Amino acid sequence: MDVEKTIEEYIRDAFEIGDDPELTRDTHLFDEGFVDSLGALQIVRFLEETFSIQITQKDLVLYPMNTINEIAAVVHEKI
Amino acid sequence: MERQTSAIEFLDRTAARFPDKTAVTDGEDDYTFSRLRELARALGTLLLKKGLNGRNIAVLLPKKLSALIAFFGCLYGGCTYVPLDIGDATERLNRMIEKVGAPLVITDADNAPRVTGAEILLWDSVPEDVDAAAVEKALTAVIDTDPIYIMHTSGSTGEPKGVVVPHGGVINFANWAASYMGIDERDVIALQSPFHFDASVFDIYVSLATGAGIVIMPDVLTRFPDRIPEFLEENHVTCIFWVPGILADIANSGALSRYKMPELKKFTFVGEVMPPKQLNMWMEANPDRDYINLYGPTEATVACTAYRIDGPVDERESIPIGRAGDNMRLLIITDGGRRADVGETGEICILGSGLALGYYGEKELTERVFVQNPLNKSYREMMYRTGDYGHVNADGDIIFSGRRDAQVKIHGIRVELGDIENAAACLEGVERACALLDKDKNLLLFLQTGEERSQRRLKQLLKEHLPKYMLPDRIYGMTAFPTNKNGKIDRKRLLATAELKSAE
Repeated sequence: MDVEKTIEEYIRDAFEIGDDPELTRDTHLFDEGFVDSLGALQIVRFLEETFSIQITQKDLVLYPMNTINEIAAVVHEKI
Repeated sequence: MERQTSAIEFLDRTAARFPDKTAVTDGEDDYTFSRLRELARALGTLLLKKGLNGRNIAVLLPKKLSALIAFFGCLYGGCTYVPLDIGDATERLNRMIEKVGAPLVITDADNAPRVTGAEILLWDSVPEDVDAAAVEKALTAVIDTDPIYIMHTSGSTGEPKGVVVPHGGVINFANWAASYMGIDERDVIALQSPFHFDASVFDIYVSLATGAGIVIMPDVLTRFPDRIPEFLEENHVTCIFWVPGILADIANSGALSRYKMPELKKFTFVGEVMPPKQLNMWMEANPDRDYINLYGPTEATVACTAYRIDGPVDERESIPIGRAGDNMRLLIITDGGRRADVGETGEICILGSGLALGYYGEKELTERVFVQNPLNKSYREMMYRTGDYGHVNADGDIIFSGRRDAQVKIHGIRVELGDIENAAACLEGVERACALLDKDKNLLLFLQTGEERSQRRLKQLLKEHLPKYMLPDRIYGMTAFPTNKNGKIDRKRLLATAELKSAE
């Protein structure tokens, strides 16, 4: 499975971003306002279900998960 | 022993008693009490050398150990510190720096380029030289009515108000809170509150006063309440002094059944009303702990009343805020200006050694709420009018019943919903704005816009006008607001729309 693509498609769909070209895989999702403060939990739940992984509090603290590429890196570590 | 007049004497005492004990850890670094003291004294030495004794120093740093070194360094240098939020818009930060007249900003390489109009000092570029005599001299000159920090709170105009708190207020609060909760050097306190919000004053100064350790909770975890209990267990946390919202989020997340947190014995909430349902969830999952409800505005130094909760509470009743702490006194004063009888509602007014000195540069505003006790006709006695309403019950405990104005609490921080609406209504293309809290206390902003506007763009525009903690969690744009038969905005229908959308 293309992890980056799966995550990007989910985020574009769940946060009503559509095909806005300003969102790249290195865009800060929260600072740039693409994902609101309630969305972080939503994304992590999606990752855990879709990739059958567990993301612990240590992962959240240690790894930045602010861009699609950063989120994908954590998923790659786990699967 | 001589009477303590500067709050930083706590650090001198504790560093002498427990020099090699870990004082603070932030996940990256941990420092002992003696190391923390040395670094802070070096910074104090530098500030004195620069001739800044007695000045207001702004601190623009993330929620890390470095901020504590900056705060304590200011105190060793005889200065007043002003904690700022790195999440605030740059222009707003610079306005605050200018307003408090800070000649110097202590910051890091990431944030330094944002500061204009004041000298910059990078916290990690301070030489480790200590001029013990100069620091000692500056410390001796401090009296307990001298300001220790200026903390900003939401003002009704949208511009923040700087509450000036004296050393004596912090010393009194830390001593009382530590003894009321029975905290000593064996305790570990999890610091959750940002430094620009005064709940963190508990963590910082109770630790310094007792030798208890501090574990700084990374901000990212507040987005993931179900992971917080795991964090508390792994760090052997024994005591928390948190806002109810996060505690309620943890209870709602279902994590209480998976993590027992056996070491967490002292459980305190402050800043807003704890929802009884979620409190009962905590108490049922973890009985035999100390559950304490505190109350108090920044203007009376963190908290000034406490109430110990014995067991599960009646969910239809509010939890009392209890009685005044050491050297503090509360009066309930009726609109007619007399002392309320038992059960009679009036404004909660506070007297005692924890009172702030006033609002920085706001003489008129200060005089409006810091007033002569109207019941004392004999001599000068300052009283702070909170704008909160409450009454005393038959047991002698105070019950908080609400606000005089449209103020709400978001993550324990005071916010006027009208400020958010006013800021939003100024944006181009916005016709009307309505800010509301949903049942989970998320801040929702509804905008009536003539044309389609990107939500992202609207949020970015709002950021220039509002502090970070006042930014909405969700923005909903619509072409027309639902109205009731009086033509007023139908807030219930707006909330229903939001629920419908989030369920999609």
